[in-house]
Amino acid sequence: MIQSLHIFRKDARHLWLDLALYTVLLICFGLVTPQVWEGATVSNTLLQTFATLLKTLIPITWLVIIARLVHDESLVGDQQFWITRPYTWTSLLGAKLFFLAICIILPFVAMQCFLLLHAGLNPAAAIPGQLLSLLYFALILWLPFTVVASVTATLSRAFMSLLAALILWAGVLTILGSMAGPRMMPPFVFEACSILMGGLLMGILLYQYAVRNTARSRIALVAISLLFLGLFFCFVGMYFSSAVDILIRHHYPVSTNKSLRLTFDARPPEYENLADGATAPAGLFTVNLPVHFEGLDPSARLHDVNASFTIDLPGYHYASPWRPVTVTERSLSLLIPQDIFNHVHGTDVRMHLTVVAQRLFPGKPQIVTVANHFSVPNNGRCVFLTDHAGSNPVCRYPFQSPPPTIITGAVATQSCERSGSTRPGTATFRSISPGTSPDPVVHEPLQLGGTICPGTQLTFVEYHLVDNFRSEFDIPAIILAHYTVH
Amino acid sequence: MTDLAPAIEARQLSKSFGRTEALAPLDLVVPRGAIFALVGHNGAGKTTLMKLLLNIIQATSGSATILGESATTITGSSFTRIGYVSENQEMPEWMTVQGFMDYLRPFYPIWEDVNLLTDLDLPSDRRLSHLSRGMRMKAALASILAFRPPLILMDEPFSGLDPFVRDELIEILLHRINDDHSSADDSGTTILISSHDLAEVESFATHVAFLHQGKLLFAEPMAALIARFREVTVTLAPFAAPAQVPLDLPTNWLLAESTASGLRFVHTNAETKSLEEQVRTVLPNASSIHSESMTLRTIFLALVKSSHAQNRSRS
Repeated sequence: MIQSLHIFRKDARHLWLDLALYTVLLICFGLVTPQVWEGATVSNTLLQTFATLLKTLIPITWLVIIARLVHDESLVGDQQFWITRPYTWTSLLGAKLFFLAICIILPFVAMQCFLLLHAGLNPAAAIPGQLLSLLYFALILWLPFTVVASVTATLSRAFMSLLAALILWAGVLTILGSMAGPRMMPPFVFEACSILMGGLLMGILLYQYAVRNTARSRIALVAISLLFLGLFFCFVGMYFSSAVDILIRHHYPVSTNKSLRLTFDARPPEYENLADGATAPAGLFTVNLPVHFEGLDPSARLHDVNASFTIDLPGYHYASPWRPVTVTERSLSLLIPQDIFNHVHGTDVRMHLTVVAQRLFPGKPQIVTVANHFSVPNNGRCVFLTDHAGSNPVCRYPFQSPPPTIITGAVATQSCERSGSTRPGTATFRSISPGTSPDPVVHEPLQLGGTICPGTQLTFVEYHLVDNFRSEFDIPAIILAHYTVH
Repeated sequence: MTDLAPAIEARQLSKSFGRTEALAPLDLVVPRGAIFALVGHNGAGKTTLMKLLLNIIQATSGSATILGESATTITGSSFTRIGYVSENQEMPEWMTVQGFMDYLRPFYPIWEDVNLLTDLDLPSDRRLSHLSRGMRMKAALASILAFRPPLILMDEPFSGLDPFVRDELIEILLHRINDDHSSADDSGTTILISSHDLAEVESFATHVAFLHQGKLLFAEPMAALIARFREVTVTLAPFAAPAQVPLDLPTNWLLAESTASGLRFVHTNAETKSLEEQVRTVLPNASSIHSESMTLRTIFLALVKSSHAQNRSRS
């Protein structure tokens, strides 16, 4: 510990200029970002560009500082003075991680707290979201940067290695992603991949610090990259379809509610109602089936709906991957690959549909009175940003928006100054997970379809997950061409 | 102190990089308190041997102990007893000389740097990056001498230094280690030094080992080596024989060449038996035999030339 602190002090002395520049960057970001928030009065294009530049510079600065920090006691080569000095690798790694925590993460957290306070939000109430956001930063940026720095000798090599990896990953993921179209992420896969990726990267870092075998560490790093690209390729190519199917079916058991079932409306399709204007991804066709859920509690809402289906003809079988679907009151939109559609579109096919979804039930309604600034459930705060008549408030949340929420209230059909008529308005907030933006404030414009006036009472109803369920349905004969979206 | 393990002991230690054998299996013992010179031309394997001993790289086969500790277990804490100075060492260039010393101080249980920088004539407030090659080497040496290690390994410390700085370094080194004889244990400081500067090394080394193309040709006390190698000039009786080199000379006669009056060669085992007797056995018509002692430099050159000649004849 004493040695760690000694090395930490040395690093802080050496990198003081880098840290000073980083602090200036964070201060600039903290001051500029509120000016470009949604509805900000002084926002202009130049400021937006500057804010974007600052947002880009922050991770670049992290890379520079982390690389210089690690390279101060470089692990590559056998000529470094420190390898024949009484360093212990645990102290050295401890010093570097301590530096990361104190000199990189702490100022960043302080800047985020400043932004939260500036938005009128309570940082203390946002700790879980902040921790999750920091975990994402650690997994996506800080840990990979540290590992790459540990297997490179210079800043330029670290930068070029990361750039090459980024281009490779982005290229492969984009190509595979566009080939596959939208897919359902199987349950726990993100968590498992995050733990696996984080664990493997941490393993390489520990190994490199303990043994300093750069060749093996580099091979391991490349192997991990290839492993994850391979896993993604296999997922897209449906090589894991059985495992994915089992996982999803296990996570979404058949509903115990017998009255909840899918129903097929065999009436002739009404084309004008089917065209939803949505564009299917390249190579995919949208089919709007007149299928809907029956027996669903009227107050319940479906969330995160995905489906898989099979198509059978004599001598022909197709099983689709799990994809997100759009559910309306009377229909369900599916994506089907164009070549499959071309093969079966004009003939009667047997179709088996499996839909999985989360069922949400409304919580206790919470009534909020609109003012210039007003607090809303889930640590949110809404604010009228301009004096312009007819403008609506923007609600801000720390790190993530609330659970799906329906907001209702009376809205003026004209401006608030005129005593005109009102009508009921409704808005929906969808849940947004904490991401990896340095700006911790999530904005949700409150638009109820009219003007929200101060003094109005709004009702916030949050929807909470009750269960995951699966519903299966068999359509003995259907001609898909009748249900395509034009 | 005879029960103390040698400062360095290597048994069949070797290192290969792929198919290239950088160091053939060698046995080496460096006694405690010795100033052991490791000589050999570039690429002979001197640096590889030092790195193996310090566990900077791993041996392909064999084993070694350093101050009684297996070389493979040498880690950070071992370097409180072992000092290492190398001509190519990467230093924290941004630090000043004094800053470097201050930084290293807490790593060691003993740290005595009073007057050290002054003795070495080092500017304490100058950055390491702004030091000349000689000054850098002095700074590195200062950072080693300050913690008074019982074993110092120096890899080409004099390379590229002017004679004045070289002498200064040696003087300080010897002065400090002589002081240390009264410290830790009475065997004093052991130094393993690799160098091209044979004349300098000869002036203070007690032992010498010669590495050539990854092979250890010999390792012995300096005095024994100097006694063993002699340059011999033999004058043959007039008209007794043609003045050309006989084909069946003993293997310990190197670089034999004909002269106008006889033969000249380097004898590598001159002290074992009467030199004159040996020569007369091979050259019965020798009329006079004259031998001269050799310097380490001339011995080194003779061995290298002989090796090249053998390689040429083989090829």
